[in-house]
Amino acid sequence: VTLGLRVERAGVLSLLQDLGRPHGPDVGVSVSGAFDLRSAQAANRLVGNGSDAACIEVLLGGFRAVAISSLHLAVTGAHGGVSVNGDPAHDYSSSTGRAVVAHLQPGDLLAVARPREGLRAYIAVRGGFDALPVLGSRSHDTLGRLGPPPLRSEHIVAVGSAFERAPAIATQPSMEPVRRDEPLTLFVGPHTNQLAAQGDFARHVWTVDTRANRVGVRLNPSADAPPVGLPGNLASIPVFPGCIQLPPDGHPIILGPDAGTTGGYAVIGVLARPDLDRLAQTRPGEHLRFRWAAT
Amino acid sequence: VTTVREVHIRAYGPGAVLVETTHGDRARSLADVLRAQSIGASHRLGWSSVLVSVRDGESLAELGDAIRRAAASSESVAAAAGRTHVIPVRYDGADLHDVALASGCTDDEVVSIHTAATYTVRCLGFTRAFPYLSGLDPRLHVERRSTSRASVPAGSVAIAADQAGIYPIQSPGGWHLLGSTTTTVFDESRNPPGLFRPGDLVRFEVL
Repeated sequence: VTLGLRVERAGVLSLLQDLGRPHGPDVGVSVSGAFDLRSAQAANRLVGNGSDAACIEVLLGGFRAVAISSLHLAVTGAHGGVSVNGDPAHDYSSSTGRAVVAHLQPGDLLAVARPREGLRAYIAVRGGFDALPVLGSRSHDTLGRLGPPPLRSEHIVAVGSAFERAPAIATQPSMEPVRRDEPLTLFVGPHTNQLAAQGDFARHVWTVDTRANRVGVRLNPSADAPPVGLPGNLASIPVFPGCIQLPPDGHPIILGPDAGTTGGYAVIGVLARPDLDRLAQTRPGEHLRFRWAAT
Repeated sequence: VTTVREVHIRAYGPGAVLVETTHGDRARSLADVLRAQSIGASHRLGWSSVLVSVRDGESLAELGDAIRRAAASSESVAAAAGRTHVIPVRYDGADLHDVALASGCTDDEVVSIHTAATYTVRCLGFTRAFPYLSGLDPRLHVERRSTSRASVPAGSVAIAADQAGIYPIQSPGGWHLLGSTTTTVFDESRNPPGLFRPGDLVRFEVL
């Protein structure tokens, strides 16, 4: 390998992720791919990659790597904590772009430390990070343990040639910060009608549990709302990222990109993609509200 | 040959519907009909349901109407025949004896009942194309364990309620373990990677 990064510290969990395996569920394989797809796509755009290039998804910082070649990088997603040789990225303005671009020379140290806001940072490199694709994707599936394994120290991450598939011209999507107080939009699911009071689900404030990962994000009801569940052990139905399951214990689970492709709990609502991007950046202990989509 | 007339169609997020059928094999027949008539953009099977996504520019209501018409007009459909797999099993599972107790028979009887049936792959799911098999003898219907195991070994041959299956990789699981097989049920270098497809027939034999 002559182009790439040598990992010094991988942090809590650093994974290669691309667009995932959108047809995986047809053969019983999770979709996977970047949890905050919008941020991963923005990072690829900034370095001139095609949309299918793999990024490094860094959970809660703690990531350090040394360039073994000249590299053009972008870091998006979780906000803050990015530095090169100890120099932090200069914020031109707190109200605009949160993307960081970096030009590394061999030996330069890139650090993605614990962010001030959000959970997952996305590092894109011009050319895309390279690894052996599995079932058409360089994404690691944490449930099925498919694809390139989680990064470890001393791991060398090679750089590919994903810029060959970049569009000749494109607009850079604006990276306005997400409105954190906005409710997430719920679409009706197959078991929405089993909720005793549909309005209640949207009226309550929910808290993200510590059991939150790429497979699913568990929610806790607020103190004034006792958990109300629905019977489980249903005939397994197809499920997908964004489905909100309500198990008998009354703690809803929002399915993430690595969720299994079938489930036996009631699905009481479904989030659309933009809200999944936001969920990917919501930390345990933070609050979420919902509103039902207009029908 | 099964009829697919009776269906329940439910909205499933902004771009799909869940079509529930009264019998699982009808779900597969219905999916075949919808694919043949190019109704919906994609079709994915559950135990007794099909997830159908909308085509670009199509509304959920239009998709639902098209599915209803197709189901009503397809009096009888022969589900496509699948392949037959014979899976050798070492019947030394951790729950074999518990299943025997719950079923009121001996360990050997559990094995002979489990090997006597021919199973149908209803759908693939969970992770790594876990095969959900119908056809389990009612004498072996035992509700899933009250607590899941954190780790079930790969190749475990298991049952829960009216379902049978094989764990493709080591994973958490709440089914009763009857035994294990060394047959590779998932190979990531193949496409599709799973050994089984919906509609395939499966038999188990004592190793």
